[in-house]
Amino acid sequence: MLVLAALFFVVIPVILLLTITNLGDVPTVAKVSAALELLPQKAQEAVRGATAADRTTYALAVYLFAPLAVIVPMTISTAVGANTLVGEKEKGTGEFLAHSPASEREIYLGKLIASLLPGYLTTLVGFGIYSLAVNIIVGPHVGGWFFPTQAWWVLMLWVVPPFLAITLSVVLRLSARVKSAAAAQQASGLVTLPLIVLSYGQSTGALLGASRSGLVVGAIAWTVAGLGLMRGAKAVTRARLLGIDT
Amino acid sequence: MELAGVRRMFGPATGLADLSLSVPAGSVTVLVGPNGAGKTTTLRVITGALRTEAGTARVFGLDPAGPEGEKVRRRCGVVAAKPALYDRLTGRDNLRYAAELFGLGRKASVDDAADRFGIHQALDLKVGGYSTGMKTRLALARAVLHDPGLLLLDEPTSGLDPESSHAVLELVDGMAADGKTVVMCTHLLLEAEGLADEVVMMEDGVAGCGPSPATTSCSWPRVPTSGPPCWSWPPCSSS
Repeated sequence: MLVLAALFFVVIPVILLLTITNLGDVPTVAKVSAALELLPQKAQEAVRGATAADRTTYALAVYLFAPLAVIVPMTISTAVGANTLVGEKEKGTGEFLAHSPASEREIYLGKLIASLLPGYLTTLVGFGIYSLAVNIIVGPHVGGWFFPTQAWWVLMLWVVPPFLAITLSVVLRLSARVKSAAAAQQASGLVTLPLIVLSYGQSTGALLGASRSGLVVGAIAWTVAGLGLMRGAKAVTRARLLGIDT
Repeated sequence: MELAGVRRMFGPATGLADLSLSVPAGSVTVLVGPNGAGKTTTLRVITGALRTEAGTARVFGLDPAGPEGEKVRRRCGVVAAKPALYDRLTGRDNLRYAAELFGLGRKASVDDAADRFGIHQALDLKVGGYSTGMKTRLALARAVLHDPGLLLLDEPTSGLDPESSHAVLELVDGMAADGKTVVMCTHLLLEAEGLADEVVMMEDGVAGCGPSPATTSCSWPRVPTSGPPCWSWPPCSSS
């Protein structure tokens, strides 16, 4: 988890941003800067910097790495979540839970929180370090500390959590139904891939779009997440914890 | 605890077929039968972990599979056929986790429970390194942590050597002496000797007694442990 977060939030961005800021206005950077004209008008207006290199690093820092904030928690939480319920079955500890006074809803909620927190907290910490690195590397070139932007706050606090919840609602249902952890991992990978692509697109759109688009995307995602979690809770039964699928 | 006409199928296979069983408070009832007889299913129905397809189950006067099932499970202590312990946690953490699940919190007497079953010295070691006997002892300690009124033991001597088996059965006897209601599953009639107030022979999901299958359990006075081993039914030393 930590290696994945460090790679996506620190190592790759820092190398890329340091490289561009040190290269200056070489032709390649100028081409990337020219490509910024493809961004929506509102996003173009928000890009700061006097030179092509400055504008490029700003755009990369604010727009390019946004989807990573979605992919990292989803990857981590999917890996953890896929094992939660089927792991209890495989190790025989599901029997203990099935005989315990905990309700099926409580067991589901416990597994959901245990899967969601590692991914989301890792992302928040990684995001904090990323913000610091971006402000130190790019900030002096664009007039001071600028990150996180308003759209990033909306993304991290309003858009990412429901997408994570949607993914986990699917993963936990799978984990409750399959027979082995290996099957859970494989099925989760397949099922969550479209969700990752969808959330990648939606989060990027929210960041690039109008100021309210992030709020709208988040609101829709929360609604879908709520419905998904309610359905997902029904997948956890005492019989399934015992490894009986009838 | 009363089961009346309980049926539970697993697809085409019969788990329980019209099982009727009555366990008086403070008694020790041993369910004896071969693999697949329905012993484990019976225990699962008693706690409400499995729902019945027909018939009724009443435990402490409540339906264990109904809305009040939580109250039933809170008063049951279960030792499963596999100890169902978390290998990566220490023995102490396993007991603490159980204490939290049963709502005991920090007031749980983890050390006392471990001490009672002779597992105290290993309490801070990871359970993955425990022997089978130690795991059984820890599972017993976990089952009595919340002072349950009904103890359900599913082949607690499975995989143990004779000495350890004897020790576990003595511990069960001790719990019965404390006034707990005990229901124990085994496929060894020998284990019921000197322990059971009542033996229920099970086969193909029904309770039977002697040569003619019946739907009720069989009363069987305690057999002294000093007697010859009994491998048959009806028990030789009680006849």
